[in-house]
Amino acid sequence: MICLSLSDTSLIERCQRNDVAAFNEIVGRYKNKIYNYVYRMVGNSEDADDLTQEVFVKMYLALDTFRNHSSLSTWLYRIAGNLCIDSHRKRSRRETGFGGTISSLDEPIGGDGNDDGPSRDIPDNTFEPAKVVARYEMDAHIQIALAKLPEKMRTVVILHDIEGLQYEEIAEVVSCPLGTVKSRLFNARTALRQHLSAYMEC
Amino acid sequence: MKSEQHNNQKLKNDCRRFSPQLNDYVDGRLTSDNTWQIKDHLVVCNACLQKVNNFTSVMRLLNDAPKHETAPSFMSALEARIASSPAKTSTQSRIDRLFNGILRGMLEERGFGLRFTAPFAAAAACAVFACIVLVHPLYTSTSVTSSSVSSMQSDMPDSAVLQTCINQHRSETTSDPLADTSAQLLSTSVDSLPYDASKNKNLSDDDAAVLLDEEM
Repeated sequence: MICLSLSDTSLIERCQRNDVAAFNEIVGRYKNKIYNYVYRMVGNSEDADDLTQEVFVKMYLALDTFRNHSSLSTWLYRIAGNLCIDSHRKRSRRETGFGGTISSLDEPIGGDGNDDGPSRDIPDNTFEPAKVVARYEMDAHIQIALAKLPEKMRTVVILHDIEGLQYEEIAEVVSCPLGTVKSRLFNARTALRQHLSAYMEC
Repeated sequence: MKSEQHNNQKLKNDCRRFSPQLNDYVDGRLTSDNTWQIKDHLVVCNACLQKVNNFTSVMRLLNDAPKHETAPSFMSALEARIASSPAKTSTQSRIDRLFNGILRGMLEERGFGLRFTAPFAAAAACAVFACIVLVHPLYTSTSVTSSSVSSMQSDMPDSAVLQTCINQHRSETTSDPLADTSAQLLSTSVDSLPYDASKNKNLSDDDAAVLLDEEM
C-alpha cells in the first residue's frame, strides 16, 4: 500500500531490489492500458491477454537494464508494440488476414461453457440492453476498421486517439521522427474515416 | 475577374500551406496565431473544413471506444508465468547467484545499488582479459630468451658464447627487435673481451660486420 504514492522511477528502483509489492504496483498501474493497446492491435482477447502477460514478463526479466532515459510507460508500450509485430508476423505465416475473433463475427454465436469472459466481441443481443449492444457494435466496427490499416499507421492512431499519448511520446515508442508520426496519424485518420463512413453516416 | 482569379490562387496556396497542419489544429497543438489563421481559412474553404470534420469525428469515435481490461485472473496467471519463465530459472538465476551473492553485497556495503553491479563486473572482466592478453606474450618471450641465453653461460668458452649470442641476436632482430635481450649480453661480452684479430679470423665476414656495428 506504501507503493501507491510512489513515482514510477521509485517503483522501478524498488523492483531492481526484488521488491515484489513494487512490481505488483507497476503491473496494477499499467496492465489495463497495455491490454487495451494490445487488444486494439491484435483484435482478440486471447492474444491480447497472452501478449500483455508477456510484456510484464519481459519487463521483469529486463528490469536491471532499464535506465530512466525514457518513461516507464513509453518502455512498456514499446515492448508491447514489438511483441504485437512479432505476433502478427508469426500469425501471418500461419494464416492470411487478421484472424482471431474478428474473423468469426459471422459465425453463429454459441456458448463454449467458459464463464470467465465473453467469447465473442458481439454478444447475443437478445440478452443485452440496446445501449450495450450499440457500444459493442461500435467497438466491432472500430476494430474491423483498425484491422484494415497498415501496422505502422494502426500503432500511431491507437497510441494517440485511444491511449492518449502525445506525439513526442509516440515518436519515442515507435522510434521514428516527429514528422513521421504526424504524417502517419494524418493518413490513418483519413483511411479510418473512409473505412468507417458507412457506420458513421447511418 | 482578375480579383476572382487572385482569390482562387490565394485559396489554393492557403490549402497547400494549412493542410499538413490540420491534425495539429484538431489536436490543439498550434499557437494561437496559427489557430486563428486556420480558422479564417476554414470559413472560406469547404475542402479543408470537411477534412477537419472527418478528423474530429474519427478522433471522437476512437476516444469513446470501450476500454478493454484484463481478466480478474490476470495477476495470478502472470505470477505463474514469471515463476515458470525459463530465462529466470536458468541463466538469470545463475547471474543472480553470482552477482547478488558476491559483488552486489560488497557494493551495497559501500553504498552502491544493483545498477552499478553489471558495469563493475564487466570492467573487471575486461581488466582480467587485458592483463592476460598483454602480459602473456611479454612473459613468454622474456622467459624463452632468458633461458636460452642463461643456459649456455656456465661451461662454454667465451668465443662459443659470443657466437651463440650473435646467432640469437640475428634471429631475434629479424623477428622481434624490441624483445632482443641477447643484444645487451652480446655487447657486454664484446666489451669484456680483449681485441684479438686471430679470434676474429674464425668469424665470417658477416659476423665481423655485426661485431663492428656493436662496437660502434
